[in-house]
Amino acid sequence: MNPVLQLRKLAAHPRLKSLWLLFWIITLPSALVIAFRTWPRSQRLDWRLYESQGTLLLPRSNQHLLSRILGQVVQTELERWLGNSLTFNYLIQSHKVLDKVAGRLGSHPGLQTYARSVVVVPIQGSRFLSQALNPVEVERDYAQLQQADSEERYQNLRIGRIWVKAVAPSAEGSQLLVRTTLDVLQAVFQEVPLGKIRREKATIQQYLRLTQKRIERAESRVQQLSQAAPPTREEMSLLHSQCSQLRSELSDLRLELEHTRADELYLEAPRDLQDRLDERRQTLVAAERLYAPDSLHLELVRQRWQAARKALDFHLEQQLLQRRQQLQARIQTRQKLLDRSSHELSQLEERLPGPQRAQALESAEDELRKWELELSSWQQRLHQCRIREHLARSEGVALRLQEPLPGQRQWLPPQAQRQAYRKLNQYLPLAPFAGLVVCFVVALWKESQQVSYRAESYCDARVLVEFPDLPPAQRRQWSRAKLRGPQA
Amino acid sequence: MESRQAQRSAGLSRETPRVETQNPIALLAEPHGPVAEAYRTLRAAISKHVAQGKRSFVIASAWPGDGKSMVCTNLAVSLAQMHLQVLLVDGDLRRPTISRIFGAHERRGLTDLLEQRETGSGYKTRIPNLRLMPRGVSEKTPSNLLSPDRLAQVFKPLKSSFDVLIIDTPPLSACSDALLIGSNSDGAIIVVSPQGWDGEVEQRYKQQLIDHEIPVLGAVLNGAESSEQFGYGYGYGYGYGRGYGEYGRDQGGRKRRPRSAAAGRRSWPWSRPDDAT
Repeated sequence: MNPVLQLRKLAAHPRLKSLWLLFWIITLPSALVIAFRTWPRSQRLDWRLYESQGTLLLPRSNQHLLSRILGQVVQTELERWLGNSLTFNYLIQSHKVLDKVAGRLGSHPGLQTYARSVVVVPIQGSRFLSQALNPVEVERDYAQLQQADSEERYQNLRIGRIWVKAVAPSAEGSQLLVRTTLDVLQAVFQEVPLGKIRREKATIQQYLRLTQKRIERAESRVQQLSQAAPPTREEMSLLHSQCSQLRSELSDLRLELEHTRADELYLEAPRDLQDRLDERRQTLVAAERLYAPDSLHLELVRQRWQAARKALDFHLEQQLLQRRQQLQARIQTRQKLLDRSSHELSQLEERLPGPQRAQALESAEDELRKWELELSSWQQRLHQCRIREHLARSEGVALRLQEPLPGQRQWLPPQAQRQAYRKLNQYLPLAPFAGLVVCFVVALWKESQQVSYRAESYCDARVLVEFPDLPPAQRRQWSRAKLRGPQA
Repeated sequence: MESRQAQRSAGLSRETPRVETQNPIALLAEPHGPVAEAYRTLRAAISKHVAQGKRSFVIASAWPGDGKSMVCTNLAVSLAQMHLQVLLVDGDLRRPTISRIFGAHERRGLTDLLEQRETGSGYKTRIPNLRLMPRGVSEKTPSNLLSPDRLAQVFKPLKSSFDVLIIDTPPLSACSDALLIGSNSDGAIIVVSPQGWDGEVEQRYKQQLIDHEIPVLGAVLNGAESSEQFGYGYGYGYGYGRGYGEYGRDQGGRKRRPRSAAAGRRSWPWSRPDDAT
């Protein structure tokens, strides 16, 4: 069996057309995904960017790219850093650039001591440094330094807006120092494309919305717990004093009512009525002296005196009744107030403080404060992200430190997520190959299901013809003839 | 009388086989059906070898029930329809299906020629240009009859007398008759049935054919999509009769697995007393 011939036959099989289509269906999208993920985002600068540790870093093999970045990026955070040499020195120190240089020179113990002598300074004032700092000049400087024969070589290299100076016993050592320093600087600085910043911004805004919802939830929780909070001591004492005052008022009013009943006879009548009654009485006494007992005038005077006395009695009675009604109304009002206060007091006593409720309220308030802090933190990050977006939009790229500054929170996803992301991308270029393998396996499997293929492959015999199945009647006829002869 | 009537209904006249109206041969029953067209395709493939000077073709298969006899019969008829002088030889000495189909199973045939070292040209059938060489009535053990010199002595004049010899053989898994008969032929065609297809076993048998210097001209897939009831009544089992060993075992001595439960329950149709040869 000729395997090449078999493969050719397999590839020329008409049934494989659909499999080839399947292959392209698998391969083309994966190729597009790969192209989308690996294509440089900033076409203007034509950077070749490589993905490493979840962030886009510059390739170490092409150092001139760093010069292009640092030379062409204007109005970025780096510009701000370079504008202030103190800030830049602080950045170099805080990121332990020289320590890292010394660490990378582990295989050259003689150079480790010279790593501390490396000077990294920013250059100010020039706007077109990239034109003056092309890689050709850098290599020329290297060549000149290699030709020097002094005891201690002084290596001086400008990359963009950063000037790296190093001193070592040999030219190679100084070159190694400078290149290692540049490597470390490359590792420290991180390129962030515009699309990534926008994704970060969208993520931050989403987190902001989530945090606001959490704050609303925490506020409602706190409000709910505070409404059902235990009464304070002031509320309790106020209610107690109100109740005692009402009780004392009630007792006074009831006593007054009793006194009003008892002092019914001591009520003072109105002066005009009393004067009229006294006058009529004097008139009646005088008339009894002057007139006979059955005198008509005396009877008239007596009636007038009785009428005056009745009027006075009616008035006194009305006054007493009014007084009683007033007192009873006041008593009822006080009683209602007392009942209400007593009810409130009993309710407050029922809501006397419990430890779990107080803890829940305290935890809710803590949670609210925590989310408020988180919200302010996200707002700050959104502000920074907007600044970076503005900078990146102006120049196509922004630079920021790869490591967060001390005190700043790490907003990048955790290391595990980044590793998983990297692992996914690691095997992505194998997608077309996998598609090819799958298609061939499917093709072989489909072909292997055919008896003709199996006959050709196993017996190496060309299939001359495939007979279809016989009709049942014909089959029966053959069976009968075979069993019983032609008479069947 | 009954035997004579059976011969007439099968296509044998007093001296020649006769074809029945309800013909078991698919090519004659439905001359324009897909099966007939497939046989014509096979005929075209064989004709190419005939044109190259090859005369005798052995139809072999690994297992019983693959459809060798049917392919032989229909192929011979199709070649005869092409005005070639065709001799259909029932070389399956243990289960002479073709002889039974034509009602010539009680006539002298191949075994008698081999035993008596004679020559013959078979019986004329009602199909033009087609003659039949039945199995014969000799009761000698086929293995003893199939010696190379005897076979050469019988087949050599036949090759010169006829344009094409189509020789039916017993399955390779049952006995080595096919190898002995095939050694005197110009090529072998392997009949493959999807049921019971093993692959490795077929490859081994095919290698046996090559070892006996029998060129394999190709394979024929018989009933590629047939069901378990496929069959021309083959049942598999091939019982091959009494006194000829256990025909239902392969060469490795393993008992062959029945292809279906229905087939396994099927009685042995050739075990009637009058079938025992």
